[in-house]
Formats: sequence, structure tokens, C-alpha cells
Amino acid sequence: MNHAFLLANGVLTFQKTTTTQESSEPLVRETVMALFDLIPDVWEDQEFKDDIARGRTEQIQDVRPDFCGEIASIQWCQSHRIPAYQKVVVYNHHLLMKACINLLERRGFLSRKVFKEIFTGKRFKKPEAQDMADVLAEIMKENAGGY
Amino acid sequence: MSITLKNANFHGWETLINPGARVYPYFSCALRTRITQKRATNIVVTGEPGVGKSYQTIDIVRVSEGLTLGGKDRFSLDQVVFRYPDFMKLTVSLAMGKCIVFDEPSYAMGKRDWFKEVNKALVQTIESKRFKVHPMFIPVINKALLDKTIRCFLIQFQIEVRDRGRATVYRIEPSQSSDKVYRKTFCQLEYRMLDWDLCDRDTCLDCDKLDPENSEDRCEIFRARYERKKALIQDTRYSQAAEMAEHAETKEMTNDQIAERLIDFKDLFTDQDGKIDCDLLRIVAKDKCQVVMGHTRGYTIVKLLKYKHPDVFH
Repeated sequence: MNHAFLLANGVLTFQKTTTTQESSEPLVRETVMALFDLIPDVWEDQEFKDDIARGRTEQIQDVRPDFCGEIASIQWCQSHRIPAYQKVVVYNHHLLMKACINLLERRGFLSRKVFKEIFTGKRFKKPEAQDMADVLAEIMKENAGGY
Repeated sequence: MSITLKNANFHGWETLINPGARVYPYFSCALRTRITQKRATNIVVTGEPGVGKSYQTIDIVRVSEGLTLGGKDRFSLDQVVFRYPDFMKLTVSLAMGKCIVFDEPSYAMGKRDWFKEVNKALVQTIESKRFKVHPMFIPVINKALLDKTIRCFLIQFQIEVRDRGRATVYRIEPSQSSDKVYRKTFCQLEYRMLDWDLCDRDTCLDCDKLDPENSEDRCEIFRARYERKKALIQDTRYSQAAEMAEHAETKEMTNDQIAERLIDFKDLFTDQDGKIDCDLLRIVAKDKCQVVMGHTRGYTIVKLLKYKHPDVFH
């Protein structure tokens, strides 16, 4: 499977959906979820999870029944053991899309990473000499938790 | 997050690293790995004339081979060759894993001839290089000047020098199933000229210390020694070219012109009575006038001399 193509197709479908006149919230939701489903679990890192959490909101919805256009009172609902309010998780699908794009960028799908080798042109002085492995370990320690 | 680069010691040279920011001696490490694994490594360094290909090449090799504990270069100037015979000699005598720079002797030799020599060197040493393990660096103006087989299948890396000390390294990977050759970006190089703390001139060519009258004032920095070696090769080539030009000129000389020139050396080919020895005349003509002639022409010139100077020759 050309997975890169499938991902690109998912992004293009999202673009078309948002720009078309017939665009609607369910349509956007479905296209984002379709792209979402293409992302393997092993790709999901902490940053991706944080981005999703940013797009997620919990809302309390009024779910009281109505009778002939008249909404039942809270007391009536409590007496009949019918929930008056319900917690619902709502996603901002544009933020979810952003999370996917950020993930693709981190995976190296969107831009080419430039690797660089730098030499200062100086001889390393003995007292300052530091082994490459030690410097590497030091950097890793400083940046614990990922770059 | 702010990214800091740390100083580190790479074979005695100071490098900056931070793998998170993708700054690391990627190419030098890859090079060392290939040498350790005894894999063939041929690298072509391209760039427009005067952009600093040779200096960049030498800097890469000096960094790769590193410094001794005493701070001296492991890479020696003898490892820079300009001609095919020198290259072959070096291939035989050089220790395993040491690099060879087959440099272009800028203008002293016809570019066409030089490329012929490089192509010959590469093609003839493919097999032996596998066992000798001598990474080869070839600075050229354009990769297309190399033989197709070499540039497509024998070169592992291409370093494209954009500016002094700035270059991009590409990995050359031929397809194993078709004629395609892939050129993948490997990394970028940023080298400040080595030994700039000893001398910050960007070229030695107009420096008084390059070849002063007093040898004590002579600059012994690596690049100055390199320039002197290159100049020596150039001078040899120039004198060879001058000799060839003179030879070509004398080849087209008329019998009269040759006779006139030989008059100055008449004592060398006549006996006491003024009699001309034709064989001696031919030898003198070859030695003094660079004219090679056969017996017939020799006798013609003998007769010409007798005719024009009857009082001198009998």
C-alpha cells in the first residue's frame, strides 16, 4: 500500500470538503475521522495526544424531555429518575486536523530535514577536550522528553 | 525550546553537535564507518573554478584522518597526487585506510589529459581498492567530465561545493535493476577553513610567506605546503609544454633553417680538415636543435652546408 498517497488523499479530501458550498459539520467530521483512521497507533506520540486533548471539549447538554413543547422541570426529572443533563465530549475537527498535520510533519512527510556537519576549523585543546559520546549524553539529558 | 550547540572533539578537531537540531558530523562519521568496514569509497567534489574545492577536500580528509596525540596531522601532503604514476605509486605504498586526493593540477595540464588519467586510475584500481581500502577524493569542475561508468557506478558520494567552506553532500545510489542513478541529499557541510587560527588568509597565492627568499620565513601551514607542491607540479608541466612546443616548431623547419642553426655547432660534427661526418651531424641536430632527421635529409643538409659555406666545409 502506498500509505503516503492515502494520507495525501485524506488531506486533499478534507480541503475539498471545507471549501465546497455543500460543506457541513458532519461532512468535515467524517473526512477528518477518515484521515484519523489512517494513522497507525505506533505513530501516536505524546505531542499528538496533547494536540487531540486541545481539540476536545466536554459540554453539559440539557436532555430534559419535552411534552407538547413544554420542557419538563428538573424536579420532575429527578422524581422520575430521568437525567436532566448529560456530559458530552465534543471535538473541534479543525484542531484534530491540525494535530494530524503536526504529526505528519514530525514524521517527516511534509518537509525535508536538513542535516548539518559543522567544524570550527580549530584544533581541540586538551583541557577542554570532551569526548563526543559524553557531549551526546549531556545533550540527551538536557533534552529529556524529546525534542 | 532554545537549541544550543555543544563543542566536541572529533579526532582532534573541534566540531559542534546537537543531534536534536540535526547538527552532527554525519558525513565524517559515515566516512569513518565505511573505512572501518573496508568498503570502497570514491568521492567526487564538484564546484565552479575557484570556489575552494581542493581546500574543502583537503579539510574533509584532514578531519577524517584526524590528529595525533601530539596535535599533528595524520594526513600527509604525500597523499595529494596530481598524476597517474604518482597515484599508482601511492596506492602500492600507502597504509590501509588512508585517503588519497587525486587533485586537478589547475591549468598546468590539459583538462582532457587529466580526466583521462583519473578515469584510467579509477577503472584500473576498482578491484585493488577493495583490498587496499584507500578512500579516493577527486575534485572536478563537473561530474559529467568523468567517465559514465565511474560517475554512475563507482562514485559513492558527491560533494557539491557552493561557497568557501559550504557544501552539500549527496549519496549516489545506482538502481540495482535499471539504469537509473539516484542522488539523495545526505547532509550539509559547514567547515571554517582549518588552521584559520594560525592564518586567516583565504588564499596563499598572494602571500609573501608562500615562497620567500629566506627559507626560515617560509609558511609551514598545511595549505601553504599544498600550494608549493602544486606550483612545483605546474612548473614541471610548463617546462615540458615549452619543450614540446619547441619540438613541434623545429619539426617544421626547412633544410636552410636547420643548416643555419647547425653552423653554430660546426666543431662538433667536423674533423680537423673540415670534413663533415653525417652521422655526427644528425646527432648534434637532435641534441642541440631537437631536430630528428633521417640519413637522406642528413646528406642533403651536408651538401647544403658545403654549397653555402665552401670556405668552411670541404
